[in-house]
Amino acid sequence: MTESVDLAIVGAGPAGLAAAAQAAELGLPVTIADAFSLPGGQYYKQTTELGVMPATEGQAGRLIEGLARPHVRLLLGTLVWGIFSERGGYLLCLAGPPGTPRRLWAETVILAPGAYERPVPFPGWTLPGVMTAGAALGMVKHQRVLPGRRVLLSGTGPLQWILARHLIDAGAELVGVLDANRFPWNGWRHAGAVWGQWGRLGEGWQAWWAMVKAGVRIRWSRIVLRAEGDRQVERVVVGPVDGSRSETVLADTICLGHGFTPAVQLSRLAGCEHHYRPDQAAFVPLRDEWLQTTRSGLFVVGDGAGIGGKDVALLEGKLAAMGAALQLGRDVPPSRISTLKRDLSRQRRFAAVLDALFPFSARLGNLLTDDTVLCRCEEVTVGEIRRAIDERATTVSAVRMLTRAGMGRCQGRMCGGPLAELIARQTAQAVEAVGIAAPRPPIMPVELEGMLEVES
Amino acid sequence: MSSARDDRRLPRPVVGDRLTVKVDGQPVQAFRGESVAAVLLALGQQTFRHTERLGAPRGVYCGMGVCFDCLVTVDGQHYVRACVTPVQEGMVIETGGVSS
Repeated sequence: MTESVDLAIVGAGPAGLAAAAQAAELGLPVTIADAFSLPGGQYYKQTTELGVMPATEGQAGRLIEGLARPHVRLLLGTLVWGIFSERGGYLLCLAGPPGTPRRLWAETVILAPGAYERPVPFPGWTLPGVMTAGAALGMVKHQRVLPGRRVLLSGTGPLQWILARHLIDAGAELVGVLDANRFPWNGWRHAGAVWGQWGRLGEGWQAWWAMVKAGVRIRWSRIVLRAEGDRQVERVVVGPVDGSRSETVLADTICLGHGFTPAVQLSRLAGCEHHYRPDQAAFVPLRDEWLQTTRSGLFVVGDGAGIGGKDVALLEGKLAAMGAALQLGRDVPPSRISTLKRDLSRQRRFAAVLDALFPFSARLGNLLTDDTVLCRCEEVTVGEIRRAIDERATTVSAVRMLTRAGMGRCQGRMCGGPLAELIARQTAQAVEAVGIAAPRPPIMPVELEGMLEVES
Repeated sequence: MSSARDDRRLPRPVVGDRLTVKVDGQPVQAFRGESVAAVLLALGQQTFRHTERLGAPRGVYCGMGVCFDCLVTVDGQHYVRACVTPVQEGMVIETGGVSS
């Protein structure tokens, strides 16, 4: 039997938690599901055993405590693998521990799926030792294990500085910090948007100072051109973004931090309209002032709707919860709505500064050689894809059918963006014309018995 | 116990219970709360498997469960993501990949 609820929230990171807390406060019964076994998402990540939230205890702790109400149901370890329009609401398909409902019908849904790191392929990027900045940060900060001994950072923006600081504190040998962008000389123009963000400026400054003390200098307009090694990374060829010069450094670990890309699988599966945001080089759901998508009663909040960071996510979660409450016939004081919208636009201005100063450049794709593996799961090379494009496959879907690129276990999360950029470059189209592959349920591999609707 | 092979664990504010797992037949010390990936990286092992098609080595990439690169065999179950799987007492972990 399918259970029916007023409001379902998918994702228990900052955006989902804020939405749940706000909805609960407005008296709505809430069901919130998250694939991980503890709430917090990637930002408020909790270590499995200790259940403590390093550094963010206050804020995250308050949010999670706010869920301890009788009308809030938290479904952990529960993957929402499908969403479908049905009877004026949405049917959610769940796979979770025994006792978890397999189907949930919700009149309103808030999706807070978050984001993952933007993959930027280069020759050798599949070698062990090449990992995302987030993977390395998780190892140092949460697992307390050094991911490697001689570490090179490549990417862009202040999150890399923060990783550098953690690695320095952990005793790793930092052999370089490369930033794909030029030094942001024009940063002063954004002083107005940055004014008042003392906490985050302080964090950036501390990280910068830790690098200075350790004698680590950021090398601007530099990237990894190629990683080499037999069984894992041993040597890294680095150079300017145009590849005009190069030098080799010895390292066993490369941490890639080129920003994030929204996880739009569920919002696309639900049939929401998406548009391409050039400033973020990503497809995001179209939303109204309540963060409702083109599907009535379906909201998307946080990084899953466009990268804005934790503070934008918290405010968006609250705003969508108010929107859902209004739709469900609850009262929301108008003064609270206007305050929230004002705070949100201030936080979005800050997020836009980071986009402007540390943009992603599709030029990085110029480094791909024919033997570079683009689709990590199906091991499809750039050469194979280029041949498919020559055979008139000019969209992501067409290349997928010819080469299997994007059909593996990650379902195109890793190669989807780079694939679209490669096709766009080779066919002289805009990336938005090339499109993104249609998501297919289940949006992540699920055990068959977890999908079946069995009664116990 | 091969805990001293090349222990890359860092000082921790709180230490989880000690437990023992098997990695490719060898007993290895681990701590509750650690992921399978953390235990392997703590040993200095970066390669978790070889791929089916090209036999290429792979390890941790995304670290958050979305890329499916860090796959290992856990208690006989293939294709388990090491980065999002917490270790349990007596867990049997096999690296190297599944030969097809």
